[in-house]
This record gives sequence, C-alpha cells and structure tokens, in this order.
Amino acid sequence: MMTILRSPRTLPLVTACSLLLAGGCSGERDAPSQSGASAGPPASEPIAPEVEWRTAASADERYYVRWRPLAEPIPLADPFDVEVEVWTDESMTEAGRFDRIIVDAGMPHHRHGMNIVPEISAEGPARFIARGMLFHMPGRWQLYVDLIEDGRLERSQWSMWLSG
Amino acid sequence: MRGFCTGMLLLVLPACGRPAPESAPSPEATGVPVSADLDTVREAHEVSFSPDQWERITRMADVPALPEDPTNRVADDLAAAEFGHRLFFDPRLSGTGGVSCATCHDPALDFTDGLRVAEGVGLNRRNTPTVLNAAHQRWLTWDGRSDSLWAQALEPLENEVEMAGDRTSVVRLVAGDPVYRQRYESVFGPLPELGVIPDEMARPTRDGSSDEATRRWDALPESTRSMINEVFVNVGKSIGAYQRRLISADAPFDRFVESVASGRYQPVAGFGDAEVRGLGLFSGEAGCWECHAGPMITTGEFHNIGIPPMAGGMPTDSGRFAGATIVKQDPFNASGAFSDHTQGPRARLVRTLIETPENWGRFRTPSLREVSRTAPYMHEGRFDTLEDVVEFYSTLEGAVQLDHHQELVLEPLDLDDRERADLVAFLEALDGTPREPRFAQSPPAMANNGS
Amino acid sequence: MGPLAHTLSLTLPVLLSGAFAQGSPGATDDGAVGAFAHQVEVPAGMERASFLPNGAVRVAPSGVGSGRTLIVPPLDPEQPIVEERPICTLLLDDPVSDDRVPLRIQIENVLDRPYTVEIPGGALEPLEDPVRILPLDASPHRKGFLVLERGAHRLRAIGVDGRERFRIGGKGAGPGQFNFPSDVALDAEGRIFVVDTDNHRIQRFHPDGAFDREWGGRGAFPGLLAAPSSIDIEGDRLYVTEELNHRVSVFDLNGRFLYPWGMHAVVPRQGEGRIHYPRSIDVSADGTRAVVCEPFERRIQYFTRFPGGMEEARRQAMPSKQDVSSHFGRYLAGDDDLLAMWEPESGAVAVFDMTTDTGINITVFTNHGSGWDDLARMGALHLDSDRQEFVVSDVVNDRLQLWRLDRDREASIKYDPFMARLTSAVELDALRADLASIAPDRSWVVPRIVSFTRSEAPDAPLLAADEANGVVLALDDRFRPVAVGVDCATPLELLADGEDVRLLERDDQARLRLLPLDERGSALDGEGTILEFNDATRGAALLDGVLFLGNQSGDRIDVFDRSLASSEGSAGSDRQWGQTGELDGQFYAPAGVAALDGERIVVVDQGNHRAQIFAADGSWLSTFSLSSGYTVPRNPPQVEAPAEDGALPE
Repeated sequence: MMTILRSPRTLPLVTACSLLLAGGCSGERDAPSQSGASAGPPASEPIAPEVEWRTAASADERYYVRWRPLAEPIPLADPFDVEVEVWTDESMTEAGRFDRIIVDAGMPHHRHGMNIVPEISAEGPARFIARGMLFHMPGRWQLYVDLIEDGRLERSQWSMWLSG
Repeated sequence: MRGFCTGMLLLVLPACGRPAPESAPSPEATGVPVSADLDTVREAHEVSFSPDQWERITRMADVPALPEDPTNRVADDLAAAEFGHRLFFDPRLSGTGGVSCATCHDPALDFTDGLRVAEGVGLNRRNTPTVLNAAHQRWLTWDGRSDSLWAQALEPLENEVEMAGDRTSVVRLVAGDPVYRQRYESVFGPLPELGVIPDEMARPTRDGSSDEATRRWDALPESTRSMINEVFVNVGKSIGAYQRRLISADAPFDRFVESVASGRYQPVAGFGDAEVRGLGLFSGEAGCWECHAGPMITTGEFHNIGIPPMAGGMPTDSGRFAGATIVKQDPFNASGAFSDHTQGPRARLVRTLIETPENWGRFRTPSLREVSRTAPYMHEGRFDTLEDVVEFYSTLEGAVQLDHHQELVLEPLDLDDRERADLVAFLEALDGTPREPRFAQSPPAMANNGS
Repeated sequence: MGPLAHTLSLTLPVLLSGAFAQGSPGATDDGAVGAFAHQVEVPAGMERASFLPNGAVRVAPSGVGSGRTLIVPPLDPEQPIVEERPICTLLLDDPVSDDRVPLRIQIENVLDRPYTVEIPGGALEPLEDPVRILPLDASPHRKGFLVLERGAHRLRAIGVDGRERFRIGGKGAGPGQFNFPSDVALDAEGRIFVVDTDNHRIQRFHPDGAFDREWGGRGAFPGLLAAPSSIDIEGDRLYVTEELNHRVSVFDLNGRFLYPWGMHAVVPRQGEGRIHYPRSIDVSADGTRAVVCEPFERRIQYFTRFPGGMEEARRQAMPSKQDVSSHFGRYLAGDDDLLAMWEPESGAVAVFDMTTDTGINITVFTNHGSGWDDLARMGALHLDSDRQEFVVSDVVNDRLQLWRLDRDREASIKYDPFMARLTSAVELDALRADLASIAPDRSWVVPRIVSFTRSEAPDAPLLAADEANGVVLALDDRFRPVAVGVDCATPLELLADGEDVRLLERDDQARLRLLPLDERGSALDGEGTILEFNDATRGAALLDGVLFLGNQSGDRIDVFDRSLASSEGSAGSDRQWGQTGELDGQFYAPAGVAALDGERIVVVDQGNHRAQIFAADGSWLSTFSLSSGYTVPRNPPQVEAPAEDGALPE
C-alpha cells in the first residue's frame, strides 16, 4: 500500500478497481508499475470553474468529499477526468487523512463497472485528479470515492444519469 | 414487444426493464433546440419522439471531426496517406505476394469482402469488418486487439492466415522500390542504413512461439532489429494515415435529423415512414441505443450477445478475453516505445484497461454506419441479411447462454413483422457517401512495379 | 500404529442398469470420456471416489481422512481397471503431526496390499487441514510425499526423513499463491498441478516447486473455471471437476481446453450424466472410464467414452437451455421483515421484503470479485432490519463489509437495483492488529468470521464468531474489537433471541453445544447445553427459546425446545419436520434457517432451488424463489409432515 505524500507536485500513485473484476486488477493490490512513469499533466491543469462540485459525507462522516468532472457534460464512451477533494470537515479547511484513495464507478443495474482503472494523482493538499474515467454505456452510473486508512475503508457515492 | 435487458439471468425478472430514470434529464435540461420540428414529423409519419429520445438521435447524427491520433505523428499528413494508399493495395506486402489489405477490405464492397469469414493467405475465423469510419473507433477489430489504426495495420501483415508476411520483407520492399523509398523519405526522412538484412522471413511472434523466421530475427543485431521495427512502424503509420481518410457521411438518416433540427422539417429522400418508425424503435423501446449510441452508432465497447458458434457446440472464440491481453502486450500499442505520444489519453486507456474473465465471448459492438453494405453480420458472419439480424434480436433463438453465470443477456424483443421491416429500413438508411472519394478506390497506377 | 481405516464392503443399489461400453482396444487419441454409464447412491458425507484395480470404487469422506469408507463392487467384473493410482490415508487419531507424533500414511493401490509409511515428527511443522497426500515417486515410494493443506493455503513436499523439501503457497492470488486449494496431481514428468479453488485456476509447477504457468479464471465459458474441486491426470489429459459449473473440464497438460462434460444440472437430482456440485474425479489409467463423486446428490456417476469420440464430446458440451434454472440461496440471514440470501453461482446477495406472505426480491448487491465491494466467498451474512444494514464476511478476500439499504418502508414494494450501498469495509488483517493490541497475551491470526449476531440489548456490539482464532469477538460499528469473548472449538452459529445470545458450536469433543453468552460474547453460567445430535447441520435459528436446526443430511428441520431448559442436554431433537422430496414441506439438503417476525421460520431448500416459510410448529405457509412464490400448496405432501402437533397447511 502506498502512502499519499501531500505535496502539490504531481504524484501518480493510487489505484482503483472496477466492480466487475474478478482478480485481474493488478491495481487493487499495488499501484500499477507503469504509473510511476507517467508524469501526468502539470499540476496547474486548468479547471473549468463553471462546473459544479458535488459533495457528500462518507458513511460515518469522517470525510467530506466533493468531486466534479473536468468536462461537462460527462461524455458517453469517451475518457474524461474528475477532480476530487477530501476534507475532514464540512467547511473544508482541513485535508482528509488516509493512506489510499480509490475512484471508481459502476452501473449496478447492469452489474458491471468501468472497463478501465483510472489513474489518480495527488495535486495538492486534499486535491486529486482521477484521469481516464470512461462511462461506456448510457444509463444510471454511480461514482464512488473510497478512502482507506489502516485497512478500513469509507465510501462516498453519487448517482448520475448518462444520456445515450 | 418487450424491452432490452442486461440483467443476469438470475435476475431477469426483477432486473429487466429499464431503470427508473429518476436522474434522467428533464425536458428543459436536455438542450433540445426548441426549433426541432418534431410536430411536423409526428404529423407526417405518425411517430412521436420524446425530448430525451430526440436528444439521443441528434447525437447519433452529430458526426464529429476525426479524433486526433497523437500516437501517429503523420496521422494527418497527406503525403503519408497517399503512401499508405498505395501500400494498402499492394499485395507485395504479403508473404505470398498475392494478398493485400484490399483483398479483404475491398472498396467495391465498402471495404469488406462479402464473405462469412476472411480469406487471406489462409482462412480466418472472423468476419472482415469495414475500415470505413474506423478512425472513430477506440479499439480496432472484433476483439479490440489494437488501439490505433497504425498498430492494427501491422498485425495482419505478419498474421499467418491474413497476409503471412514479415517486417523484414516489408522493409526490404520499401527500401528496394524506388517509388516507395522516395515516398517514405518524403514523409519520414532518410531510410536508416539497414546494412545486410536477411532475404528470407525474419520476425518475432506475438505469442512467443518459435520458428525459422523468429530464429533469423533473433540472430540479427539489436541495432538492425531496431531499424527494421522503425521502418515497419512507419509503414503502419502511413497505412493508418490513409485509413483516416476513409470516412463516410451524409446518410439519409443524417439528412433527416438535419432537416428536423432546422425547425422546418421537409421529408428526406430515403427516409420515409418505415425509416422514421424504425428510428423510433431503435432509439426507444427496442433499446438498441444502449449499445449503439453516439455518432458512430456504437459505444465501441464489448458485449456478449450469445451469437451461437457456426461450428455448433460451445463457443470457442474468447473474443475480448484474449483481445484485452493482446492489446496490453502489443509492443505497438499507444503506450509502447513506437507510439509518438506515450503519456496521453490513448496511452492511459490501454495502460489502465482491465483484463477479466468476464470478457470471455464479448465482441466489439460494430458501428452501424454503412451496415447494409457490409453483410454478412456478426463476428463469424452468421447472418446473411439485416432481416436475419433483427430476427435474432427478436427471438434470440439459438442464443448461447451458459446458464446464470453469464453477465449479460438480452431479452427477446418479440417484434412483429412491421416492426422488423421498420428496423431494417432504418438500418438501411445509415449508408452514406465517402468524404474523400479518391481514397475510396484503388490508387492511381504506380510507376515501376507498383501494383 | 494408529487405527486402521475402517473399511466396509457394501453392495449398493444400482439406480440405472447398464454396463460400461466396451473400451475399444487400440482406441485412438480422439477418444473422449464423458458418456454416462451408471449412477449409484452413496451415503451423505462421501466426497471422494477412486477406482481400485479390480474395477471396484472406493468411496471415502475426504482425500486423506481415515473415516468410514465404502467399496462399491465392480460394475463389470470382466473389465478390471489397471489402476496404479495410490490412495494415501493419514492414520492418526488427530491428523496433525507435531514433535511427538510421527506422520503415518497408509498407501493403497500400489502393492498387493495396503502398507504404511511412517515419517518421523520433530522437524516437521504440524499439518494444517490436509486434504490430499501424494507420493512423489512411483512404488514403492522413496522420496516422500506432497501434502496439500487447504486451510494453510500451501503445498509441502515432505521427505520420508521428515524433512520439508520445499513448500509452495501462502494465501493470495499471485503466481504460486493459493486460496483454499483442494487437490493436487503429478504428471509423468513429475510436474505438479494444483487445483487453486478460490482463485478458480490450475497452477502448474516444476518438479522442484518452481512456478511454471497457470490457467483458468472464474467463469463458465470454455477454459474458465468456477470453484474447481479436484483433478486427475491420465496420459496427456487433465480432468478438473468444477463445483459451481457443475461439470468436468478436460485440458491438455499445457492448459489448452479440450471439452467439458456433465454441465449443467440445475433440476434437482437430474443425474444420468448431468453433474451437480462434483467434488472428486478419478479417470482410469487407459482414459476409458471415469467416476465422479457428487456429495450434494449423495451419488457417484460412472462415465465411459463417447462413441463418437472427440467430435461428439464437443457437440454435447453445450448445456440444454431448458435445463437452466437459478440456484437459490446458500447463506441466509433474516430479521423481522427482511431476508438476505447469498448464492455462490451468481456471486450476489439477494434481498427480500418479507412483509407479505412470500418473499419479494427488492434488490441485489455485490458481485464475485476481489474489489472492496466484491465478494469472493461468503463466510457469514448478518442482517439488521432496524438499521437496514447487512454485514458480510468474505473469507477469501479477508474483509468485512457493511452495506446499507436505502429503503422506504412506507413505499410500495418494488425491485430497485440501487437500493443497497456499501458504506464501509475493513481488512481482517487490520482487525488482527487491533486484537493483538487489546489482547496481547495471545497470538492472533487473520480472523475467519463464520457467523454474526447482535443482542437486542441497548448498544449491544456486533458479535462475530472467529473460526481461525477460536473465539467470539465483539465489534463496534467500525469493526473495531471492543471485547474478546468466549473461546470456542468450531463455532457454527451465533444466535440472538431478543436480548439473549447463544453460540452453537462443535466442542473439542465434536459434540454439538449451545452456550449462552452475554451481549459482549462472554460465556454465561456453566457449560451450556450439549445436544446429542450428530447429523450434519446447516443453519440454525432461535425463536422464543426454541432452537431450529437445518439437518442437511436428513432433509428436515430438527427442533429443540424442552431439552434446552436442561443442562443435561438431549438425546436428539424434541421434534422435527420435513422429509426428502420436492413437495411443499419437503426438502433436499436444506442450507439455511432464519427466524422472521410473525413467528415464522424460513428454510432455504437448496436442492429444490427455493425457500419455504413455516410457522414455528412446522406447518407450511408458503414457498418462494427469486421471482415467484405461492401460499396455496401446489405440491401438497402425500403424507403428513411428522410435526408433533403441527397442522398441515390450509
């Protein structure tokens, strides 16, 4: 398990795992070996300021998590990135503390997730970018942000409708 | 008629039917232009489209500009495309000298071959997909074993049942044919000094198997192998640049949507009552749109719809199960050393692609543009006509269903005769015309011994 | 010398007459075994069937155990089987070696009569859940043995001098790791093939134990595997039984898939060539005959070659679509107006609203897999109706999960695939670390939770029965241990009845014991109640002081009421209901029992792919499955259920 380094420099490190996978997810156990070679875009990546944040508390309110897509609307069957922030308080003053973050999405109705595992990089205190999300079917999707500390996971989730 | 269902069989009854679209956009939020003349359509054809259905339809007709391919620095270089045009039609690239890309991708047949399964040097086990509009695809071929046009172009050259050639011979051809050499160098700069290269086949194999050609390849100095690979890849990138020019557009369906969207609907030739009704089914109740969405009328991903194998018994083609592994291991993929952009979205896509047994038996959802001209259908060419295809979806007769373990099942659509005919009529209205006609035919005769 | 295996020779009824097709002399390589020849009933609990040289079949409870075995006479005495496959049995009262006790292994099928090899103890780490022993070389062995230890997820090569030559394994999904491996075989070159059951794959190793290759992956398509359970190698063919695909898959020794057979019996007791939950296979050395043991069906089936060779084998492979129906329920949890059921074939938990007379499926959650919201194999399932929460123990991924139901009790009952959501989860290794810090005086391994419950007392913690550490744990809402409760030998079920909590376990003398606990899992007054009851139990419920036990081998529900009041225990259940059959009120291998409000008892009738609801007196109320249910009997029993004072259904 890797530890988040809270520096503003780009640090691709974290993994996600799809709902559908039955063991083929190397990223579930360790960060993909290739991700270290990926420098990713610069930390000063422009953010569309007009895209609204979607906020939720994790199940036990240990974390307040918000996210927004870096493209709106979320494209059908085209990769997109999402920006995620993790705080310990509702007023978002203190960055959340955890060992590992997973950003994932799924379609419970179809009982499958995405066909890819997004690459996540820490972009600053509390701020992460998940790159390469891909919703490959229209319909109702759920986005999950899982935060793991000392072997314990807390999930925050959102639903959205993707038009055909 | 019943709806489309993608629940597990275990869950068929409760899971079928579309999810309650509580998060579906409201009419106001759909962005449907108020000018869309749906009233006239309803009066003219007795077909109603809901706002979100119409939004879906407009996206199907909204063919975007070609997606960039930064993994191929000559993707949009005209000289590269013209070079690739010649290569595409040149049988000298094959091991036998008798098979070119165009043998199976025949422009007279919309770049297919009309056969159930491809016949190159040997008999392939899958149907030849058209290369028209392939530049819009994220994954290439039925199992998605390639992630770019140029990488895909290289695979058949060395595939023993397709062109059965080898990279060393391809490079020898380019270096030895003055026209090719000149065209190559005008695009890529001087050919590297190859020194002595074998007169016989020399290439690695993708599956790690060994034969005389691999032994010769392994015996070459690393620098020679590297130079051969470089030229070979540039051949692929030239063919890829050519295939990017094979775009068809302006189908009757596109003209219909354009006319409705203009706010003053005028009937469109080739898109009458049956086609409009078929579109209504396709984009609505029949649920075709759940996989056949967007401007290419496919989401470009992989599904198992239970097409029974031609040989009977259990299916033997694992489709995407093997394809996902192949593309991740392909040295020519977007994240590999030969890609011109190894850190972009395309490279990430292949790097982060999941390999899972659930991919077994899944095949790529094909684009439906040009579909009426690209029979037969499905990965083994099982169905001769679109009527047969629609019949399958209507009844699912013979569908392979390995019990409730299977992730995805369809529910029979139970279409009546008119509904079947309407769907077929709509599908036939998806045929367009080439945007660049000169590329949709053989290249002008080449000088020297060019074919 | 320990006690010899107790061997009986019985003549058992042959259910279907017929004989093996004559093995075609000089059969071509195209020959393919898999055509049905015979089936024979065997008693419950028999898991492994092996050919003997005279063509008889030895049937035994497990791969290494020295329990009761049966000999099924040859079907055709004119056709002896030249069989040199050794059958190795551990001859120990307690099949665990330590520095005091040597390993004694009895070997049959090699020489004319069984002989015993004794391996000195001392240097050897004790065996842990051994399921298969194989000699490393031909008769008489010299090199030693391979010992597969399922619970320890390892394979060890042990020399006759008692020294370990090499070991493979460790729990995990990487190359050379295992998840509950269940069988091992050697080919003629000495290469080692391990059935890695919960990784759904075969792994091949070099004779020195170095990893070579793997194949499989969970699924039903050709070459994929679902819970492979046993293996046999003859010549250049490798045969694998798959419990959850209900078939045998045949490969070459490099993992190239050739054909399957037997798939797929989901009609109860279908048999006659269709296979259900196979646990073992033995193929004759000439590849012409096979015997498959199906403990769930209490049956062995014999197979011979397809007359049409490989072509016929491949043609028959596709299961007939009309044979398909859903398996229904294995692990069960019920509370008030909710019921949840997990089924390994689908990998999903199905949730039912029980406010009506039959269960109505309102959602499903989780999939088979290794992600945090996936489930590989259920260890325990707990449901709390007030909280609308589910707790899941996954013994392969070693996690606990908490799922919450977004359910409006006032709304109309309808199916909603989005109703359940994962809210939190914990790796059991983190729980182990917590336990080590709050109870440092004992050594802790990664827990294996096999049951949960919670007292209705205010603020009562969640209780979890940990089979690996032999203890009951009390956990808070974040799965942190707040107390270490009673020690136990083999915990079966934690049961709550209002504020009362009890532990049902097999004690260290293998007796069934019901032990009262306090709300934090500590034992109350005395030794509890010993239930003199030796049948295989599966599932239990406690309702108003009455214990309902699922009797899997007896196809009935055993009820203990009066006897629970006495610390003397009982000489069996006080009353019972049900019998073997498919009619309403009858069962085939009941797999779970739960109590609901309205004093109702739900029984998962696994072999009949349904659940049935009863009143506490045993009268039948309704039958339901995933998508249907009825309260008017469709299959009324021909004889009255033997409930003591139970009324027949209206």
